[in-house]
Amino acid sequence: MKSEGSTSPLGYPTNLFTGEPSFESVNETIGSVVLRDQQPRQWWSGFIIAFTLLMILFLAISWLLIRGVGIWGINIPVAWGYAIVNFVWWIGIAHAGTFISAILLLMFQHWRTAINRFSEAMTLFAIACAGMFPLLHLGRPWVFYWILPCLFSCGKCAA
Amino acid sequence: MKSCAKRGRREIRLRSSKTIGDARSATACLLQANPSRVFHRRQALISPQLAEREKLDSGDVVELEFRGRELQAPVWIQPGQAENSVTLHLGYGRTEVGPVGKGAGFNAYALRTSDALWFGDGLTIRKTGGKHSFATTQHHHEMEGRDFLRSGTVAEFLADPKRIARPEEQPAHEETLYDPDEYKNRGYAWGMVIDLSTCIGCNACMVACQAENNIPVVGKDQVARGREMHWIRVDTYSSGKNENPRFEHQPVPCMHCEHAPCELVCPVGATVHDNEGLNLQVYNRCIGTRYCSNNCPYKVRRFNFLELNNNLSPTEKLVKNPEVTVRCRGVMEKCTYCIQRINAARANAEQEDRQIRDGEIVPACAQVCPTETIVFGNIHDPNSRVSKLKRSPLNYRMLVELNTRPRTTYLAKVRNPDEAIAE
Repeated sequence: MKSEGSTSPLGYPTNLFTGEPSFESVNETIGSVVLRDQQPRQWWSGFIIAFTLLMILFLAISWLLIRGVGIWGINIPVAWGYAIVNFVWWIGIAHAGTFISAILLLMFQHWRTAINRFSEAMTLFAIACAGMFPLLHLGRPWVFYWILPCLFSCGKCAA
Repeated sequence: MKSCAKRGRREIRLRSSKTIGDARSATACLLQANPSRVFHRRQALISPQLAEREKLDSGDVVELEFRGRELQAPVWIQPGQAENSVTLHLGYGRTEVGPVGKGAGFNAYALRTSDALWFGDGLTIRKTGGKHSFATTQHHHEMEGRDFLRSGTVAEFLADPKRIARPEEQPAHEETLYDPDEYKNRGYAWGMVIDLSTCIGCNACMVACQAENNIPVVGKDQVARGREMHWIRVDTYSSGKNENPRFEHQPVPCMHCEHAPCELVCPVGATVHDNEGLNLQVYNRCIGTRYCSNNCPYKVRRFNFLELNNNLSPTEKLVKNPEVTVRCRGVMEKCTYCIQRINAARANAEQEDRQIRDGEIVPACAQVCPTETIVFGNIHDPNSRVSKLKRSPLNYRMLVELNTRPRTTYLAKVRNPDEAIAE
């Protein structure tokens, strides 16, 4: 075991806990956040904005499923307009997050941890957003699983 | 004419609409929805020269005054229109009419007098400043140096008989990333020839196809958004001078390519080939990704973007052809060469233990064509009409350089103008 204060090849301290704080105290600090009775005012205003946007998303998706992809203003030959623009937009954001995280890792920047956390979180959520559009763009989105190479399309279960 | 122009007086020309006649067919939605790619009907047609002088643009609403009668109408700049004349089509703007004809165009009868039933002098035009938006299905009528529609005079053709069917353009059969013999042809091989010399651009094929194949009428709003559903369209190209242009028409159904680009990209195998060379669309498999349409160089695939064929009353359902599937929302559809008629003929032939005869299968478009422009048949039979036409030196494939090897081919348009009047 290396002595206190030394760093690993990736730039992290080899020993994060030197006395205080302990595992228990860190656990307590993070875990207690969700158990607090009162959230600060800023938290509520942020929550209301985010919740409203989420409900608008659900409303928009419901309307899309009821009416069809025609509500996106697409036509022939512009058959994918809105969906592909949004897909690429969110994929682009996801790429950026991964890129930031990767470049800091590859450059051995030991101060990267905080930035990596949010850039990787951004990547994950942006991927989830991007993933919606290939499903929603379908003319019949309720049968999206037919594109998966399983069951009938692989010939294993063909009648 | 010169003196009339100076006083701002023009000639009015009245004619009945190409599709709905003198208004008798104003309630027929197949006719009301029939797009006219050049000769717009619900507008006052004016010449480019007149438009320039009066500073008018297509869509400007003008007030027309003729012998004390007034009418407001949007104008459309029509190359080929006589310089100082305005053409109005009768038949639109009916007030007592069902939902189909409601709000369609303006009533040109309002300017008609008993001494000027079809034309008359003394029309004045005044720009009102209003604007009208048109729904058009073809926005550009120039070929920009390409040759989707090949044409020429008899003299040109005789001087160089190889100028139309240029076999050297056709890439080799094997020139593809995929297995060139994936679909081995057995038995019949269906094909079509469209003779552009005889096509008069009447659009009857579009109406017949729509009626035969249960194609929904989408309405002006959807057409303006580029969502017309006709399986066959009639493209019109203009060439020559603005004052006296030449219009040439080209019906474009699905080409039933032997190397079909649409089939390669479908993630669910909804568009496939059969062993008679038909490019099939399996509606039940289609989930509406629209890859096929994006990959189709001829843009002949149609998509039901909204519930355009649903919510029909029991009476309306009886309108539909029982031999053809009614497609739901979110499914790609296209010309099938009237596969229901092919299969009906096949059933008859098998019952009588014989081959299908040439001319026994007539697709709806070919059936109604007044000039017999469209010929369909078995190209494996060297004596069929379609085979004979495909051997013509005028036979060519549209976008041949893409090596899609379409089964629908064209006979180039041959003109024989009199030397004295030819420009």
